Amino acid sequence: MMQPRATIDASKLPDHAWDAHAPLWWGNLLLVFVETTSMALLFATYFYVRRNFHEWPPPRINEMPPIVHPVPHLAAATFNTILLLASCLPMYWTDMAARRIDRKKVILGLLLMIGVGVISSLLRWREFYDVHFRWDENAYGSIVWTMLGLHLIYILTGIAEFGLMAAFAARHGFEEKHALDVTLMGGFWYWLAGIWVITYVIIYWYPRWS
Amino acid sequence: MSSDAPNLAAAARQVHDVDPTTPAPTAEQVRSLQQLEAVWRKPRGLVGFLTTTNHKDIGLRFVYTAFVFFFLAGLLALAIRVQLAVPNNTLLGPDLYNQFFTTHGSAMMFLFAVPVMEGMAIYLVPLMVGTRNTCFPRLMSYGYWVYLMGGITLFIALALNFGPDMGWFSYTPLAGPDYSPGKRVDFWSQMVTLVEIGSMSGAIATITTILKCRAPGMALNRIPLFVWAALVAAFMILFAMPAVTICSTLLSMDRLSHVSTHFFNHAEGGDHLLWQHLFWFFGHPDVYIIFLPATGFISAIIPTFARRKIFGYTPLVLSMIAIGFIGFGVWVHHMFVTPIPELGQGMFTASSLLITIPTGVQIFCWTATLWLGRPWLKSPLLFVLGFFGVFIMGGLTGVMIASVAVDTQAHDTFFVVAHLHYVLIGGMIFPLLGAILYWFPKWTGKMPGETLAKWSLALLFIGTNLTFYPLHHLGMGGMPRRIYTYLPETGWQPLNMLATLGAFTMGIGFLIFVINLWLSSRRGAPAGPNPWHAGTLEWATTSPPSTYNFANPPTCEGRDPVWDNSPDAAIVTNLDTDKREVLCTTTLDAQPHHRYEMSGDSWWPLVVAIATTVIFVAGFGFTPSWILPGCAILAIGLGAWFWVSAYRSLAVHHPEMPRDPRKD
Repeated sequence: MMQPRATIDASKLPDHAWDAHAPLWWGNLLLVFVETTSMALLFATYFYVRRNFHEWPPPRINEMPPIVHPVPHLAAATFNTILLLASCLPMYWTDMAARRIDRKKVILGLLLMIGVGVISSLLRWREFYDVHFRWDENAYGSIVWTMLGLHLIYILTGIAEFGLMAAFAARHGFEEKHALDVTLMGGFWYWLAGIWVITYVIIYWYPRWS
Repeated sequence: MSSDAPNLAAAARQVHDVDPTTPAPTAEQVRSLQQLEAVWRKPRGLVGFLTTTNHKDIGLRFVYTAFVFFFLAGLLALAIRVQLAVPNNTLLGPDLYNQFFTTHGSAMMFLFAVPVMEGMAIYLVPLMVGTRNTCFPRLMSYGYWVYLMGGITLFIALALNFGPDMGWFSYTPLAGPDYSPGKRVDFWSQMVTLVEIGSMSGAIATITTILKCRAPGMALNRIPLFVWAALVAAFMILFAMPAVTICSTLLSMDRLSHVSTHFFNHAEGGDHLLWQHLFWFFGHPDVYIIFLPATGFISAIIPTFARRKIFGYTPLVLSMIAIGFIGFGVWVHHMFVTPIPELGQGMFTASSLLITIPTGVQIFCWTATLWLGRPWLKSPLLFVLGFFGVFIMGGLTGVMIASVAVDTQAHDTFFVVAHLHYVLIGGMIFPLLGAILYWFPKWTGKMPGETLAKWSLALLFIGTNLTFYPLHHLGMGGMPRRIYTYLPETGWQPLNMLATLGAFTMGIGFLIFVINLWLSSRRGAPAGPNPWHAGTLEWATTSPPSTYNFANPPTCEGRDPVWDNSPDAAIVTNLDTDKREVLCTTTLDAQPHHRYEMSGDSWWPLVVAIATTVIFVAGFGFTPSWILPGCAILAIGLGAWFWVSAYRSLAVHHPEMPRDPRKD
């Protein structure tokens, strides 16, 4: 009679994993790599194009009143920076609620985050006007609008994800599998806030120093 | 259903193959196998074709589609060679000639070389690491559909006689709105964006599968070398492809009326060299994205046919990783004739020369493996030997033009054309064709014919050298690239005629290769699970593998599990058979960690791919007003992508879960 062969009994293993043990966590991280590379290339483009200008930003002479050193206004963008950084706290709180499978708090937190996203997008709308140039006036306008625009796409993606998750949780309930989804949304949102700080310094402070 | 019977038998046989002493399957085992098959089976007919998310379907589809584009691009190359065979030829006019060489280069680089390697990785990686599918089956399927649409976009443009005509790297200002009015460049740039989105999707699925779904025991230092190559290449895709999607999108925004940005417009502060930097930051790593999987093929084929373990596993892995890093530091060597600082020229010359070190280490390890083994000269190994001949020649001219002084002379001449074709045909086509012969028994269950394979290799080897060797001399004699004809007084005719003859020799070689595969798939000898007596896990299952790959996923006790595993090596049992479940292991040591449910077949990847195509081809290519509707379909598609599967898994696995909270 043969020895019964050794087996690894999968049914004894959990059907769920948190954080870096889960494949989705890695998928999300790799997407963030792609997005970080994209933003970094836009930053490089910004500084590459800057070499073609004596003044940065160039004087605005096409429109009245002319501005000699049209640095973008700080108010809306600074408020947006504070908002995005501060919003990491409710995001973290939502993530913690998700880990406890606390459906009501998760929905509440996601609704709050949708609010943050909407306000941030409205502030971004204002920021586009604060640039003093349209995208089609010169290369400065083109790159600044593109940086702001790509980051806006990330915010809108975040809003859509929060909305979808909140609607699903409200309609069908909330289980561990989706707790991981909320964690990943959190990771994406922290990244979005972090990359915005760099973008903010480049667009709003670099021209004031140079 | 009658068609299930052979599958079931095959699966039972497979359990038997892993351990021949296992008794015939019991009724209980048969029932669970039946269930496993029902869960992994795709729907029949067209629906199954459009919705499948099985890695073997998608992987082979990538390979087949890439080869269709390869043969189209090859026909264009033959037309180019016929045009250049004699001076003052009027067969192709200057415009058609420009369209042909641009489409030839773009199709070969974007539609063939990278996708075919991704297809091979998607097919082979889950089998080699001993799991049932890639981690993100729908993402991978989406990647295929956007790739297909990108390829169709390019060839539709060519068929309508407005194919791109500015060269495959599409330099501005020639490709800008001032010098290329019309839509030719836009078809090119949207093709690029779509194809690279597809590449990144595939890369994410591949990396995660390698990191999370390996067979228990397959620690990082036991991963098969091809899987290492696929891993490094996929990471390179993640960091290189964003550069080309960004620059093709910036270019289309520059060109799009009502948008008209100025990234590449010097008059408004933009910069043409910005295009070259962004493009080559993608373009050079791309060469290694193509070459690394090819080295993976070689590292898989050589130990099998040398009949010994690979010599120098660790140096081989380290060389691949080193190439992955150095590959990002050499892009400026494509720009040596642009005004870049001397220090930059020196640095990029040094890094371009540096890359010969890891490549040399690899070639040394392969040679040592063959030297210490007992080589079995079957056709896959012969193709690898062909690689050594052709690739080393291309590598030598590469070292020459890595030097600024030589490059300045050779730039834009046929010398560079000769170099890049030696490197790509030698470094990529020869190993790829060897790999296709090597894994053909796994795909089809039939052995490839040896005689015709040898004939095709001989013709390809002679043809490649006959076509591209003379181009070195033509280049040194001053013949520039991209001219549609030349005068008899130049004296270039004899060598050009020789190259044209060589091109047809290659064409016949490829034709014989395909005929061989077609004949073998119909009446080749049955292969059995492991005809080459190879050591990696894809050979531990039936040929062709069942939809779920392994009835009981294997474990791994060494670098070559089929050779190293003890007869009573453990197997994984009791994975759920009422959903597509696999085992996830820890990232470094591959210890069993948890069970993971893979998504099933789905329409949504196709819908989202169509939305992506609308956004880029219609929106960024023609008029921005298409972007918003495209985004709306995209949002609906992605929403349903999540919602439908989340709801299904809830309904199947948590029937007690409240369906509607208002009834709580």
